[in-house]
Amino acid sequence: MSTLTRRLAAHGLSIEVFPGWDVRIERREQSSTPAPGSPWPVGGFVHPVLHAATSTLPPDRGDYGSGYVETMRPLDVFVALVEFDHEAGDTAMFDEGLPTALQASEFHPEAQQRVIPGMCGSQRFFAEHGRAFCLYVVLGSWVQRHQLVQAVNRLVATIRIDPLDPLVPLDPTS
Amino acid sequence: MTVLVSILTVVVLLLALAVVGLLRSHAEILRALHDLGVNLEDGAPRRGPRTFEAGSRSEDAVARSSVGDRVARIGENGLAIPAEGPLGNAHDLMGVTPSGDAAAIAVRGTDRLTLLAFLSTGCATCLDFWEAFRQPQNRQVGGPGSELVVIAKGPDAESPAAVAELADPALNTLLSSEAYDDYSVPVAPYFVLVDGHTSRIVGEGAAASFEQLRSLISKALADAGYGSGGERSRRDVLRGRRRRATADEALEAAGIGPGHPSLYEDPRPEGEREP
Repeated sequence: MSTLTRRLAAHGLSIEVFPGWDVRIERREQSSTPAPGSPWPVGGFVHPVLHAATSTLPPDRGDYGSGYVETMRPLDVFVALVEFDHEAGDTAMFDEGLPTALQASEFHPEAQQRVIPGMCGSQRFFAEHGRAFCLYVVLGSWVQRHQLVQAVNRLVATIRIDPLDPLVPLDPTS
Repeated sequence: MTVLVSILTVVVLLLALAVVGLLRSHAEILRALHDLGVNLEDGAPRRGPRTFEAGSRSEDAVARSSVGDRVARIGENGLAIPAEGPLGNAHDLMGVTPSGDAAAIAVRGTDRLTLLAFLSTGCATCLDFWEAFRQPQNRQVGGPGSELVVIAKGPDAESPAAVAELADPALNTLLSSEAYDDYSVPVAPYFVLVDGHTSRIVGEGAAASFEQLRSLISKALADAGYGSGGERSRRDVLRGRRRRATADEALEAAGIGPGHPSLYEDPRPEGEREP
């Protein structure tokens, strides 16, 4: 991990840290035990996750913000960038390139991983530099989505994704 | 003519009342600023009363104190001494977690108090705090609703594995030498309490044990006009009410109430008393 002024970087991802935002770039521990009858580890390969939020991120969170989103206030925003196995990027579900201009119209209460009344979410799948991601965003207020999405776009525009490192094996257990 | 004089008299009286009100409000603001350590009089000495101990950090800590300065701020008991000068601005945190991930934690512009606990893996005094922070209820030592962030020096000076061994996984723990520089921390253990609302430091200093830390923070909160809930009203700050209430509570606990004889005794020996 490296820190350069107010830019946070780790695991091939980086993002500008705006005042008032909590940001984490993490990679959870991967099981060293292979799944029965498979060369893959139990639970699959573990990839980096970037979380950014406008209030305190608790240490214990799910990839899609469980543990945090329940505590969000109406003007809070949560952004998760969750990486998938790179092969997924070749499927039709994944668009090309990081989305940088989300629209208020694409947010919907039903788009949350777990529906919380009054709030709304949006999910975009994309591939960049051979890596596959889901950009999942939760807004603390469905009513204020036009205002809140601007803060999201301002932040997302600063995300940088490094190409896959050819020296690092895709299968970390190999 | 009489009507005109009467109207003028009423107008003058109303204006006089307004002026008296303004002067009173001005005096209250000056008194509150004075309580907060701000003296607007020309040539008034600068001081920093909102500390865990007698001194406080420099306002321009951003300019980074030298290593020599920091060494000079280590007392005979091995604990850090806050620098002289008024309390300064807070700084957001950035560093790595014990598991090698990256983290940025905002302490400025938030609506909460954040207690920054600067600890190391090597100091014996710090062990008491690592242990105490394993208990969830002790993490609220900065007041209900406050956040606790434990900060060790960066991987260049601390072993992330050793930090991971001491830090509870549910604790917000960061390795950041940058934070040590930003807050001019001379030696661990050292504690800084930040008010995110004002982005200012409320108090700072060292403590030899967790119980001592609890007591020091409670005093710092009371001095800064915070109630037991870690929240304060504008009126409390302006009038210093919480501070007076704390003094009253302390006196009451000591059995000293209105009319107590000790309040009227001259503490000087009999020979030194004025006739």
